[in-house]
Amino acid sequence: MKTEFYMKILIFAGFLGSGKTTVLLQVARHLMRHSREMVIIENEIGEIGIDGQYLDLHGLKVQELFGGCVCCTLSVGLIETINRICSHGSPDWIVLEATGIARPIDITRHLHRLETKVDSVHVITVVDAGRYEMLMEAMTPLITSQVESADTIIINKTDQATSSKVSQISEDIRHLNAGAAIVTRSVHKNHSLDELLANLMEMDK
Amino acid sequence: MSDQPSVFTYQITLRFRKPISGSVLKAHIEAFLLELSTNLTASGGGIVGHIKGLLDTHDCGHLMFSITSLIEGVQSKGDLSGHIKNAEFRLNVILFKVGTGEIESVCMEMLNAVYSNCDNLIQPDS
Repeated sequence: MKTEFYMKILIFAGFLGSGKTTVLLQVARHLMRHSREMVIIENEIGEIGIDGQYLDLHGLKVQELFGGCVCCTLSVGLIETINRICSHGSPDWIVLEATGIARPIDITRHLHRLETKVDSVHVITVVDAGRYEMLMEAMTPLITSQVESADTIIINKTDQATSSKVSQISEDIRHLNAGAAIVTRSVHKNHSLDELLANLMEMDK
Repeated sequence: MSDQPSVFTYQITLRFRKPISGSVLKAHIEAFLLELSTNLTASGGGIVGHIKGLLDTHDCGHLMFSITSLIEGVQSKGDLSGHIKNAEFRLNVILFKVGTGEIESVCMEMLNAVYSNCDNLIQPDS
C-alpha cells in the first residue's frame, strides 16, 4: 500500500567523472539550508564507495548501493532502499546519484514500484565540456540517452573548453533535447547553478 | 566498445614511520595516479572512464582525487593540514578499453613498487 506523503526524486546522471558528486553536494547543501529533509542514495559501480564517503565527510547522510547499476542489476535494490527509507521517515527529497553508465530512463521506469507516492521526478544530467566530443564519439548511445532523458543538463567544466566549443555543445544538446533547461558550470562559476536551485525550490512549494 | 567498463577497487591503510606533511603526501598520490593513468592507457586512445581516489586522514583532513584526461591531469579537492601518521586510501578505476586483469596487474605492480621504494611507508603486513 502506498504511504500518505509525497516526495520528490532528484536523479543525477552523467558519464563517469563528469562532476556529478560535486554538483550534488552543492544542490544538497542548498536543500539543507532550506530545511528540507533529504536522503541521498549513492550508487557506485565499484565494490568500494568513494563518492558516498566523500559526501559523508561533508556531513551528509548517505545510503550506498555498491557493485552494480540501479538502472539494471541493482534496480530491485534501489526500490527496496527507497521503500525502507520511507518506512522510517518522510523525506521531502530522495537524491540519487547514479553511476556514470546509467541510463536515467531505465531508472525512472522502475519507480512505479515504489510504495510511496512520488510527487515529481527530476533528472539532472551532467556533461563534461572537455570530453564531450570524445565521449559522444566513443559512447554515442549512452551519452545520447543520458542527454535525451534529462530535465536539466549541466554543461560542466566549461573552463576545459573554449567558449565556442561550449556553444557548440549547447547547440548539440538542444538538438537532442529541446525541452531541457541547459546551464553551464565551471569550478570558477559555482553561482551558475542559481537558476537550477531556484527551479528546484519552485518544485518544492 | 563494450557497454560495460572494467572496474578495479582497492582500499589500503597507509602508515608512516615518520609523519609526512600533507602537501608532500598529496604530491606523491597525484604523481602515482598520473603514472597509473599513463600506464593504463599506454596502448593509446586516452582515458575513457574515470580514475578516482579518496584519502581520509580522520584528523588532518581529506582529499578527493580525480583523473579523466591525461591533458588535464589529476584534479584534487579538499585540504590536508599538519603531518600525517596514518591515512586510509581508496582507489576506484573504471575504464573502458582496458581489461580488469590488466588494471589489477598494473595497479598492484605500482603499489608494490611504492612500498619497495619508500622507506617511510610501513608494509601492510608488518
